[in-house]
Amino acid sequence: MADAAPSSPFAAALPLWTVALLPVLLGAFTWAVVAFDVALAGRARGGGPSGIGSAVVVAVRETARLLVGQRRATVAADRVLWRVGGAVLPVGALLAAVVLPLGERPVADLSVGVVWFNAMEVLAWASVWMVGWGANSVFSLVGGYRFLVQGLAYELPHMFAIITAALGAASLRVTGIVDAQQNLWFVAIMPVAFVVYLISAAAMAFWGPFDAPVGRDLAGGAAAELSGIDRLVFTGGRWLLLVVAAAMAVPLFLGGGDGPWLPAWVWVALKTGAVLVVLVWARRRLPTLRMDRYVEFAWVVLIPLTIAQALVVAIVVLARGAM
Amino acid sequence: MGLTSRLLRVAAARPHALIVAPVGGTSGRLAVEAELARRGWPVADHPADADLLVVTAAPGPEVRAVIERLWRQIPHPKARVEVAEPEQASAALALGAAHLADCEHQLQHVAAPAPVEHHPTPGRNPDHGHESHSGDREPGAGGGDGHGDGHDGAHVGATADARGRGGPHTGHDSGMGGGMEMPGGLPMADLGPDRDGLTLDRLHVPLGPVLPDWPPGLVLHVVLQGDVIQEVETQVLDPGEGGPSFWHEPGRAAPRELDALARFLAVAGWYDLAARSRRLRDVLLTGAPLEQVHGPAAALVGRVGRSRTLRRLLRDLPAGPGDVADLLGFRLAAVRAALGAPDSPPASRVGLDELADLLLGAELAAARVIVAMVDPDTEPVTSRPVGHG
Repeated sequence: MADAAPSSPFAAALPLWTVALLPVLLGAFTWAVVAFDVALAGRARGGGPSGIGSAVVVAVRETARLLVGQRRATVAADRVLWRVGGAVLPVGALLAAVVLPLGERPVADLSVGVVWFNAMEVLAWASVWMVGWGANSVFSLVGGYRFLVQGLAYELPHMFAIITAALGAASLRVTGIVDAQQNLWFVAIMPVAFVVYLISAAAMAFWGPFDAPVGRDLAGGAAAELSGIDRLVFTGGRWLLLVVAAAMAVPLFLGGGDGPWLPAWVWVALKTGAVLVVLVWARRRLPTLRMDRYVEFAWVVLIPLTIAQALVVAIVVLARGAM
Repeated sequence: MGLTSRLLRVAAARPHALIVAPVGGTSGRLAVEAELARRGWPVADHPADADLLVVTAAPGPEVRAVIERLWRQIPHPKARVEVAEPEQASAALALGAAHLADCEHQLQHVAAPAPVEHHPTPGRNPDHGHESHSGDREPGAGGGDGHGDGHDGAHVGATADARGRGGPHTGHDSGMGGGMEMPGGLPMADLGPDRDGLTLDRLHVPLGPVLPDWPPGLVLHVVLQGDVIQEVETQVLDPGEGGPSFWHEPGRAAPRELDALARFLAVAGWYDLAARSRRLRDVLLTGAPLEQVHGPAAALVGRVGRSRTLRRLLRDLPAGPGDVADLLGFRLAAVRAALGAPDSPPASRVGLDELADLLLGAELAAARVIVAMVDPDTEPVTSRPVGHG
């Protein structure tokens, strides 16, 4: 529990050089997810080059394309907001990832890891809104505001979901939460929180069916005026955020590196991959959700459900403590 | 230079294509879409994401002006091709990709210094000056209203509407911008009462003619407050081009309905089902008998009709007398009818006036769904003298 954890924030952390490893690992994961998504899209289209090879190459081609692409400027754009907003997205995703246990230990084992993750992930709100506002264009602006509405819809159930995991472990430290799941993964005692977390993971990365902020009906929405390196940074950041959000489900609900035979880091990678497969697959099953409708569902159904879930978990924790 | 040309070659194997389908360009659009699907090249939603500008018919004068503006909005490297005849689609796309991969070509022909354009803010790339959230913006992928050059117009505040509608520069009269230097030389938005009794900015925004999954040549001149449409005027660019509509040939009812369904599904963000509907449409257009696609098409319609999520999203969204869920019902019934009776004439479409009535008071997202759902006829229904511009 919290008391048993070392008092220094870095005592249980990986050595400092792993800070450089983190972007590489997340990048590799992102590449794999892009390839998987491209392969699914190819299957739906029913034509064109198919197979793993061509799907893997697509990310390379897209990156090359955006690297040589010209950056776009618009009249009376707020260029500081616009450029900074795009860069905030990948930076926020990477900062959120420092508390992810890569195996047994994270890059930084903060005593308030869950709060840190939540704070960094919310940077996406600022990012998308800044990108949408900065371009000084109608569709971008509407897209940016759509994401703020989306934030209002998903964030409260999301916070109740992650705080339920912290409650179950009586710790805000991510490694503490993993340790508390040695006997029973939290997904078993708090399934509602887990499902709500998955939903909000898609929503925070404005990933389908929550892709209205960058929707096709808005001709790209918040990202409509981005090209070249700006587009690469923004879309790359979005993919990174999706990967990080999916990866966080593993220590919070799926027992972290817990599993037989294989080393902990392999289990973390496998479980993260499984969560990502679910998210990528789910987006193809549903149309884009409009937030004016979803917010009602989120507040009337999801918030009471997550509060009830937290209550049940609190009673379990209290009962255990009394034993 | 070696690295740049190598990157260009890598990227050119999968360019993003922005399709401009003017009136009379439907057959070309269908051929280009099928060819893009065959090659696995994505369709760009907006000029910023495009490498390849594909025009699917010989454009008339109004569309030509839009194309010139779009062309300036597309970032380098870029290429443009015209598919005057559907049979040329494959060759045209290959040519465009070759131009994209050719570093020399890009430097000498595409990136050659354009005539200098005056711009109030120095140091800004003149290729892209066109946006304003507070003024008469030419939307990125929306092209423009087909008169004047939004590019020049937007920043000198002189995008006076050719049909005399008050431009955004009327904002000067509201005391917000009188005599002041505006950012980027853009006029301020004017004010007006909105549906909640507030006084909000009124934005004059043209929707179309180049938006993803949008009817050919259609431009909606809307006045927005927030994202609610307060006024609509409809216009079709170069309406007389290209002879009678491609869809009005006998036996094309089923592919037409599948095409409309695909466009609605794409606007609704259901990309997989949209792709499936397009695939069935393409199979029919290659001359396959209706029986071959009847099963999968009926399954597709059934799945869309049964989707509770979709119904919840569309229910109680006002559209004229009913709601958007009613419109979906009509659309699906039309697909079923066309699948059942292949030789029947295409289901009748609402006119543009009726469309404008449906859109009043709708939010932007709902308006896009409504336009896709009613799929208005913008191409000539009957044969009329072909007037090439």
